[in-house]
Amino acid sequence: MGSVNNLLFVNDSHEVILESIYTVRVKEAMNANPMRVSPDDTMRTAKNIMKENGLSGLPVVDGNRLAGILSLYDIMACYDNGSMDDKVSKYMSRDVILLEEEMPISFAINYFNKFKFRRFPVINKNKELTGMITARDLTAAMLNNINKQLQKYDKLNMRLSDPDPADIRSDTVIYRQFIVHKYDFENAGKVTSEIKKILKERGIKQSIIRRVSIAAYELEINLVVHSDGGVLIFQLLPDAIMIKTQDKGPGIPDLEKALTDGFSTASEWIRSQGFGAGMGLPNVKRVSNDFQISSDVTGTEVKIKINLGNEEDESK
Amino acid sequence: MTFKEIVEHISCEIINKGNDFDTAVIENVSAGDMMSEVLVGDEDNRILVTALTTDQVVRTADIVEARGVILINGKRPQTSMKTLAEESGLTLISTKNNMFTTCIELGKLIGKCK
Amino acid sequence: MKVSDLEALGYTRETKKEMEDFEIKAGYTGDLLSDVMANAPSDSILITIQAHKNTIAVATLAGIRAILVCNKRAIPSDMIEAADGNDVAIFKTAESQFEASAKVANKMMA
Repeated sequence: MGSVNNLLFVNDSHEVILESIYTVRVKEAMNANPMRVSPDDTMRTAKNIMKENGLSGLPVVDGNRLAGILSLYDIMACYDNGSMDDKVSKYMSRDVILLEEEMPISFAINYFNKFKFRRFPVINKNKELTGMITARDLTAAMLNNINKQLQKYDKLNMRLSDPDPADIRSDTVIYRQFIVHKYDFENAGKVTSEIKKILKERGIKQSIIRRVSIAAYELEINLVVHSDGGVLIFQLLPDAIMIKTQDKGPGIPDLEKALTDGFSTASEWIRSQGFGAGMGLPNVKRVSNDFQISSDVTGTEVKIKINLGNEEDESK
Repeated sequence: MTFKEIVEHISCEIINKGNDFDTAVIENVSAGDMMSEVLVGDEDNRILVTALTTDQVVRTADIVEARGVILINGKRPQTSMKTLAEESGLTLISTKNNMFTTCIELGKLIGKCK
Repeated sequence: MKVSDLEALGYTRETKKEMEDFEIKAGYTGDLLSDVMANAPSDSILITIQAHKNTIAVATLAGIRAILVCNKRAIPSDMIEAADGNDVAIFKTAESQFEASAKVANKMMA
């Protein structure tokens, strides 16, 4: 968290990174279907496979079962003491530390820290060898996942953008900007919940919170249901709350009608979601002290203000 | 009326017991499926009665500070709706009756019906 | 109860055309048209805020005889026209769906 000129910024993206360690599974990171040898193969065979594939270790598999693991050190020991015609079973390590497919990669990270080995075999529920995982595989998988999560995080519209200087007043206490996507019914209402939470934490009066919630919710739903997507900007000032929404289109052709109770352009499908009763903008206007709307084909902008403080400002 | 009375009087199933399940006193009923219509009213201590099983019902209930939601026609909440209700501490009940019958039964409890 | 009894309850009739005074045997309350279509009994009154032409189509399919539009919702002319054309009566009230349901039920049981 940082603060700039009394503006409160909250950045949650580090949680996204931590989360990936626990959600990515070993099987997503591993190298599936790895090269292998059997205990009866010769060390020469093993050496050739390693050389051709640039590997420094090989799992030893007996039928389906993991029997051991062979490393470059074992190849060197064979050169020193014995013959390359010796069987793999003579040099392989039988104490194998292995990982399971379903384990989160946090386990793999722990293993790399704890043991000196550079790679681990991965088995499935039937104890069959299904992959090998190295530190490099881990890093690649984590980076991939972080990218994906950050994209998803953006979409959840908790992302902070640079505020438009024209929007901010010198006495702004809190400024948040949210992105709302067209037809995103799954997330519809989350912005309003967040705003409500902020106000509650600040001890704002319940009747004010109710009005702000109604306005924010209706505006948020309008963005989801009627626009091509847009932003909702929330500002807490010492004496009032301001909300502005701005979308990318398609615009409201008849503003006067749109402000009439019961008028709706919603399709049947939208009604089946419980929206489109035509009370959106009238509801917003009803709970606000100031209400401004402008619209053309490039988009619609709504600006409202709800005053904090005296009782007279409340009911209309 | 209290939740206890509702549960005794109406054949229903409790899906989630909210934080104030034992203490809430319900004074008003908002029946319907259009959520922004629910937002128009400003009655306190309501329960919502609806066939809608989306998150929006819980969010709307939260905004108007409804005490609970009754789903009718034997509807069950979608998974995310149930989770949201649990997180919000909102009572969620399901009844096999339709909205008309449920309104009558609640009306009797509140005193509007004979 | 008959359709004409609704006027006695204080509800304003919106449709103009003369039609048979149907018997109403059941009530159905709701706004999700797909749900109404699937579950509303025939010879019933629909208590709703869906003041929309589509409501008439659903009413005709389900055998609904009258629609009571609540919360003082404005009723568009194309909905009235469609209703007139299909022998469905539309009534209007300022009451909520809850209040209207209770009142209609009382009348039906009286």
